[in-house]
Amino acid sequence: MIRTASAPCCTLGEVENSGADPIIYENCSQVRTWQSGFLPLAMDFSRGDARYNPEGETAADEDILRRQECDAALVIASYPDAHFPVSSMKYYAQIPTIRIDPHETPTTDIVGVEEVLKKVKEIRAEKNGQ
Amino acid sequence: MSANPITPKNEILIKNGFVFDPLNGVKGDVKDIAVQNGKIVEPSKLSTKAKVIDAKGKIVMPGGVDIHTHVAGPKVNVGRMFRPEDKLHDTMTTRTSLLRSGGGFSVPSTFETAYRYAKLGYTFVNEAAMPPLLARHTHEEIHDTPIIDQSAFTLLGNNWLVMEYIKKNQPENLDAYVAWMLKATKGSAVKIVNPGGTEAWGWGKNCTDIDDPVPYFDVTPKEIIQGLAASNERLGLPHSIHLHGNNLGHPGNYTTTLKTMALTEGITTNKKSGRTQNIHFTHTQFNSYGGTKWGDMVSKADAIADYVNSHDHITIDVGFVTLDETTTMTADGPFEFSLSTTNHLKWGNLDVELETGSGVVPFVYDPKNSVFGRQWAVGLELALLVKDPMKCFLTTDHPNAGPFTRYPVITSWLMSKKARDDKMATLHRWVPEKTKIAEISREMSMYEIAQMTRAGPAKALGMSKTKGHLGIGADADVSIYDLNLKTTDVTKNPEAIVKAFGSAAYTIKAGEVVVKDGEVVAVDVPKFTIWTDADNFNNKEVTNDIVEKFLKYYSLTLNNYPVQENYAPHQQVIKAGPLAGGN
Amino acid sequence: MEKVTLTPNGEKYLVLEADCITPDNFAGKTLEQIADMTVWEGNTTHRLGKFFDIGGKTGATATETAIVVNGNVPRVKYIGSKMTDGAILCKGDVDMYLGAWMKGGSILCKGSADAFAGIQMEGGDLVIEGNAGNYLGAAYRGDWRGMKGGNILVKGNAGNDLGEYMIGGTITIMGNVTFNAGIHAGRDVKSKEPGGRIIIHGIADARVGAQMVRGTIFVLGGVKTMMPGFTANGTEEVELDGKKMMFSVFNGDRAEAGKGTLYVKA
Repeated sequence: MIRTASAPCCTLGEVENSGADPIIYENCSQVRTWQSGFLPLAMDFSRGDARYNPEGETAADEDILRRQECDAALVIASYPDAHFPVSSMKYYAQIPTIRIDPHETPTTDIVGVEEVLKKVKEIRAEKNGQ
Repeated sequence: MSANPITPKNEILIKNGFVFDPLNGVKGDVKDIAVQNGKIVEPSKLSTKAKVIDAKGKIVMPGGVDIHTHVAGPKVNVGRMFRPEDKLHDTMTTRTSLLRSGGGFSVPSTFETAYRYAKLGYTFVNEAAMPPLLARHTHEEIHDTPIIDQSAFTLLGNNWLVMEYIKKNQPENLDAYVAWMLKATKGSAVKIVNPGGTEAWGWGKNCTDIDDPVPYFDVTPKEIIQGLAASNERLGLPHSIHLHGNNLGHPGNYTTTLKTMALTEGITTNKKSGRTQNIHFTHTQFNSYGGTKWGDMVSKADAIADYVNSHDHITIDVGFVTLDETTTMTADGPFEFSLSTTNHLKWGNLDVELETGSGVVPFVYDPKNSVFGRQWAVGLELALLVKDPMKCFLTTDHPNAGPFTRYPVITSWLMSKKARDDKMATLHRWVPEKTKIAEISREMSMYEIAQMTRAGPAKALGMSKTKGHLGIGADADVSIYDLNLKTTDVTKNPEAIVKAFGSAAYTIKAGEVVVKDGEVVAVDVPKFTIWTDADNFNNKEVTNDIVEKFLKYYSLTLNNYPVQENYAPHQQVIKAGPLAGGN
Repeated sequence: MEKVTLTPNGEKYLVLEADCITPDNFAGKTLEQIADMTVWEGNTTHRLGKFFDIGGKTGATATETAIVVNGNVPRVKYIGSKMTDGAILCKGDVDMYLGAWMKGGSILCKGSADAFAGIQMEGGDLVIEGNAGNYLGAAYRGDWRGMKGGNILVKGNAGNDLGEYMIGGTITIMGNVTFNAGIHAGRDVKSKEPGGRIIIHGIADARVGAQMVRGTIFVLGGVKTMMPGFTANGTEEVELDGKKMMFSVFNGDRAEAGKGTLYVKA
């Protein structure tokens, strides 16, 4: 079960059908809702309290990326490149991105941050006594 | 409990306050209250290093006890999820180093719920409806609600095995199952909502009369209520059955209510836990209507109050309508659907397999509307006509009839006829014409308010050993309000009540100051989930029945069902049933 | 009326939330105080004066205060939001939430405005000479109560979902609109009240008046795809802006037992 923490300096974007584990996705939704008060899509914590307006303003895919309103992206166990509109991915490809994911994916080619993935593998290997 | 080193952090002496402690008969005397290691102790036990709070001219009470509210669980979360507009004009809390962000006017986020209750001086809050299958979710939300102690009532009134055991007249099996369910869900009490009706809703039907049989199961609400009440008393559970009656919210329903209340007259109450009732009828305001339709709806609060006044086996809580825009959410599936067809607003509906259901619908109680104005009056009539506030508790069925943040203004209506008259002057003219509220001159005293909000609920919950009072050995949950009754005539200045009770001078929880001058100053204080363990049965038949239900019908396996320990890491367990030497 | 001028000074930013730019906030303040007001860029706050040169004079009240945004600010949001009186002139494009929740006063935008302009407006005048984005005069996400009063005029085109859940007031679009114009209009309107008015001079794409309950919509340039829940009820001559025109009359949306009226120019 993943517990999400509030992120005061970024917009949390939710990628539906992202390929993320559906059970974890659903659980995260509930946790973020009871903690913040809002549906866990497109929440904006930048002003210190949760604000919400998907499909127009605070959604990561169309709104933030397409309008180039951010200068970096943090992607956790999701695959925006496979699911977001091309217009937002064009900008996504230009900005620094940090990916946290236990798996190698096609996205790592775009993103180019492999250190995190390596580290996860190392931690896993340690845990498994290798 | 291991001895903690005594430091000033653990010791508080509250001096010179006017103490209202009904369970110990203290009626506003100037008295010192001493706190040490999370408990109330004799003042002489304190060291010289104790922190001193001078409560001169202030009211000192046990921390507030809310016996019925909806603050944690899946349907509460649906209310949050599908109402972004509930946050729109609410004052949201911005994140600080101490506080988490959040908000929501009628359905606040969990952290915000805790902060708001604490600011009102409440320290113990009971989630009134926990669907067993989703108990884990309820406990997770409870865990994310800091400061206040909580318990959750386990919904059993539409449960398949409960209905089967009652139908087959197998009381021993029923007892074993109820005990197992409370343990599996870490629930504190037996909750019954629209018995039979929410199961019937699975077929699009309802049970509006206590003799209406449930489809397929062929038991009646009457049998469910009596069966569970008898089981509750045999098990000696701390609280009685907690009932949301059939036919809620319909004009003319008071007859159903009176019939329902009488159902347990013949059942001997198990008074081991200190309570004297064997049935608690909740948000009774919604079940106190006469008339035949909304147009001619009248208040029958007097008939209900008469019954409560003349019978000792029952307690009620009011469910005051506060005339706000709020969100309704109950396990009364069919009722919520009918609300949505009435006000054409969005509706969330959930069926919980084999167990219960729920509905969530926003609701705007327009103050100018004659129906809602009458509902406002019904709640007040009920509270003012029931003579003993130890039988009638202050709630709004939050958020159904209004948000709990309105408790102070409700208190002002109870204590001041002027406050009621001023409010009524802004409402529809039918309010004084078609209800009796204008004729009632009673103004409740602060002692009676303390009974309605502390002593009474704690006693009815069977938890009055440690909650709801300031005697030696009680939990050190104390609220201090900046209101001097000797210098302020609250009947003429009801705003003083709203101000003082809306913003506690101090709230102390488990012996630590959490609120000072209406602001939260600490969140990391001991917080407990209270539940009842009555399970020491070795009933093979019940075990087989449970296993069979999971194999045949449930969509998850039995070993994934009971709530694991780590979901409630701060438990306070009350023993009942065979574990407490009973049954 | 006294006039305060905000001239963009070329300082770069990603996007600014400038809810401080209203006559209500500026009234009675000195230019220094205005320059010190807070704008948000993401999670960082800045002084308004960092991005704008402030000149002119403030009035004592909102009514006596006019603000001129002296340039193109397509990335400044919330200009004029919640204002109760006074005037704002924007000499270029603006971003989202122009005049959102405004209760009175007037806003004139010489350029285009982005989404959510005039949402849940209660009074006043909002004029956009360029194009308007989506959700013009709409409701906040999840709310069933939209624009209550006031007038919105867009000389160019507008996007989708204009006048969503409209309760009262008038929206006039001289150009075209995309889909969902007037969706859910009149949901919260009492039975004796007329609801809002939407007048589209150009062409409307699809779902005009979808799930409408009360109110009136005029489309002069034609509707590409009509909603199936509207019944045709003959024709009617109606006068608009002094001109008499013939309209086909449709009532609906029957899916909501709606009593709204859709006039499509015959």
